[in-house]
Amino acid sequence: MSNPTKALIWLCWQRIRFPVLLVSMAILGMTTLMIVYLNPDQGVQAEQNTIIICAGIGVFILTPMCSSSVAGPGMNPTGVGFPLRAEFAFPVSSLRLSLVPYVFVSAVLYAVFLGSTGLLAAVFSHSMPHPLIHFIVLQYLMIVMAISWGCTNIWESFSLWIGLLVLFYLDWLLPDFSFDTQSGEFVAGSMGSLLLPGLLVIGALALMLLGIARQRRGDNLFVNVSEPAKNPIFYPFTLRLFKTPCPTSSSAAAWAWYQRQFRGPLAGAALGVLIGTAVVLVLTLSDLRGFWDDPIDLDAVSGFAFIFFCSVFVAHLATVFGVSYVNGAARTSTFERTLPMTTANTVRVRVGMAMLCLLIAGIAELLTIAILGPLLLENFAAIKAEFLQQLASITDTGMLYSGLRLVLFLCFAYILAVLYSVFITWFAIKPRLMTKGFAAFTLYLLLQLAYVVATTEGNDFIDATQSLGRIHSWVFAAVIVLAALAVLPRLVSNKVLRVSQALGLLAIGLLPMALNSVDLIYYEGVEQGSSLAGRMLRHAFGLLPLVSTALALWSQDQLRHG
Amino acid sequence: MNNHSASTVVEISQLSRQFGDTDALINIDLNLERGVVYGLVGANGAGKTTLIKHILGLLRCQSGSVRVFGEDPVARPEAALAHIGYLSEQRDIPDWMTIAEFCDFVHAFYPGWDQDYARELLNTFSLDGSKKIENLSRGMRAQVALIGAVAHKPDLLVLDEPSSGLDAIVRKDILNAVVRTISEEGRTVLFSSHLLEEVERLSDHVIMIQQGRILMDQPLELLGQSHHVSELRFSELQTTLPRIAGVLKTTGEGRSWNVVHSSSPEQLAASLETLQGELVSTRNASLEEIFIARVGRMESSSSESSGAQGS
Repeated sequence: MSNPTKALIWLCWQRIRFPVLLVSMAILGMTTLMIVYLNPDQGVQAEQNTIIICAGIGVFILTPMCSSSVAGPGMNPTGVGFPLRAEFAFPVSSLRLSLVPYVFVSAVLYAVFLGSTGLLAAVFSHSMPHPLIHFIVLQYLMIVMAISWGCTNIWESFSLWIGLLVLFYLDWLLPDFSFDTQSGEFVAGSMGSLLLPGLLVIGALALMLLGIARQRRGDNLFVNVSEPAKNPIFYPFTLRLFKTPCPTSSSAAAWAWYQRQFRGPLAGAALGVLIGTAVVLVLTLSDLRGFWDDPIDLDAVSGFAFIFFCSVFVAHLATVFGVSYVNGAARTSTFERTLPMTTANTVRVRVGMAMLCLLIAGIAELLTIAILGPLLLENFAAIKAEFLQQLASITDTGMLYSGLRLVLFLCFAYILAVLYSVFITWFAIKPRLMTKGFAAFTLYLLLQLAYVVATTEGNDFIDATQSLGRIHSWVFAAVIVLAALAVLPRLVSNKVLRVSQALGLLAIGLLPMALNSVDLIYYEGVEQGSSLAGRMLRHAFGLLPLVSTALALWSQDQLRHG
Repeated sequence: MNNHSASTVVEISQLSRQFGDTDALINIDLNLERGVVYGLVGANGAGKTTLIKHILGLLRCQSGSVRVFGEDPVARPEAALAHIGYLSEQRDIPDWMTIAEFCDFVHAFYPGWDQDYARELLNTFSLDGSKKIENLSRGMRAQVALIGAVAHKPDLLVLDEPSSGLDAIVRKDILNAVVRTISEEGRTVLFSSHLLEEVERLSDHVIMIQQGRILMDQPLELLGQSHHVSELRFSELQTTLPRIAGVLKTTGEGRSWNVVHSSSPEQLAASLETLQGELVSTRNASLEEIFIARVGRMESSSSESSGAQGS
């Protein structure tokens, strides 16, 4: 490394390379999957929108990941701002120390967006997305990074985010643009409208530089402190006011108390209220600003509620199996691993608490929207009526059917949460391997796409993709069944489960499969008119709760015993 | 069925472990007996922590077996770990708890938790139960972690580098006040340390490990008796010392030399006669002298062999 700038860039790249590569692959893979396999007969405009949305979501998720990998909570126990305390001792100016990583990470993230949208537009022979979108993406990621690096504690960060909301409300944050639903393009009112948002980015940058310079001498962004700030954000929902004493009567109760501090019912309720409030506030502000052409409808509310819920739980579920980041490296707690408990019990409490937290958060979010909605949203009565009507269309079909759908919905949420937790855990522990795996999967999808594009035309393209879909349905169905057959015996041989426990788990795991099949055959009627492969895959989905549980047990066993 | 000897706490048989191409442990056979304080010594990367991790079930055996109180710590961690108190080098305890919460939490996992003893230790260390662990100094964290490890009076106390990063006062608290107390109650202690004086002061038995192999596994008393430091004098000037059976390390020049040897003084004197040398004085070797002689000898022989392979 010939100079400090190159050394800082190298250090940043080491910290963000795996998330960047993984998310880039995910954007390419998921977009291809959605356009070619899931909705092969959609129009050009819909395809363009899919590309923009997938890339946008990818960058939306990646930005906080990267800003916290380089400088964020959990990296250092003494602060949540730019916590590279080791780097603080480098003989370089604060300007270079902060500006080099900032510019580099911004450039990399922007390259992810530009590269993925450009590549996909070229592959699908579309025009490049409108430049205004690029401006907004760049503005978003620069502001998020500036705030997360410049702030030293949760209160500073919170107040700056509130400030941003105010700017958004005053129409100063985003350029004056409109979205043409026909062409799918974003159109700026004038070039001058970009000036103010551009100046705000520069303001955020200045604030970050000030914050880092002050952190370097031990102060917060806004306040001089005599001692280094403690980390108040890492587990913000411990809710000490409602904290009960740790029970000493049984290890299971104590372990449940331990887990409850992070993802218990109270944490879930607090998160739910927070998310619900945020949803209503954002919708209200955007409505006041005239963002919506039509009155806000149920789709908008449920869409925002779902996105906010997911974005909070993306972080919340990442540590379910006890993996955390310290100094940029994933680690598991030796203390937790050496507690005298069976691995199965450890997982039962961990996953049980996480699911309870999710469930209560969902209910609390719904209730918060129901309470705050009438106060702030103009046409909330219509939204509520539409929601109740949709609910009634399910409940009117009978108690049995309603109950079945509820159970299947909960199973679906369980599968998503557990599989995501397992995936993110293994990505933390084996980032290189996981990135390679994801890259191989994406490459495979792109090669399939290239083959189909090269060998078919017009309607043949749709036939060819449907044929590929059938083949892959068989493969996915087989993978689900084989996963169950492979992991369960492994759990028995590793002594995670006794044979009787494994058989019990299998029996319980077959129940959702039976319910799923009942739903498919008697209620949805998918047995008619769909391919055999598709039907088999949808029946195999019923095994996923069992597979998820087995994978959770296997992952915890691997983490505990190396 | 547990058929282990009642006096044997840990039984390790033919344990091997590889990390990639590196052999971390090679065919380790080791038994730890009840009521003994074992000092585990070795250079950095010798395999001490890997061995401890196997005893705690934090690593699955790639080959061989580990039994702790007759149980496989990987297959039945809840049974094996219930007998063990462990203080890790990182003092890896939950930051967000108060000291009192930490004690309550650990209490729940060990039926043998002695609340009076925990309170006594808190007083000894002048710790305030209402303080959060994240606000404690490094030494205080070590003391809290130690209370968690010893207050349930474990049958086996495992201390991984207990002195690492601690000042002399805290070190004394940990080692004198606790290790001895525990072992006097007929419990077993296994502690790894780089501080050989400390090991020598506290251990009954020393396990020396180097490059994944057990170099020595002996009671400290025997170890001292079987290794000596002797001063030699030769009638002729010597540029290098001739090869003498049992000599592990040599220093000196000309006519006067010092050697660390595992042969008896009588055997050494006999060997010297043929070389026109004499034994001037002899004393028992310290653990540090034995360690440097043994480990240095092994490292030089392995570098010689790799050099020979290289050439």
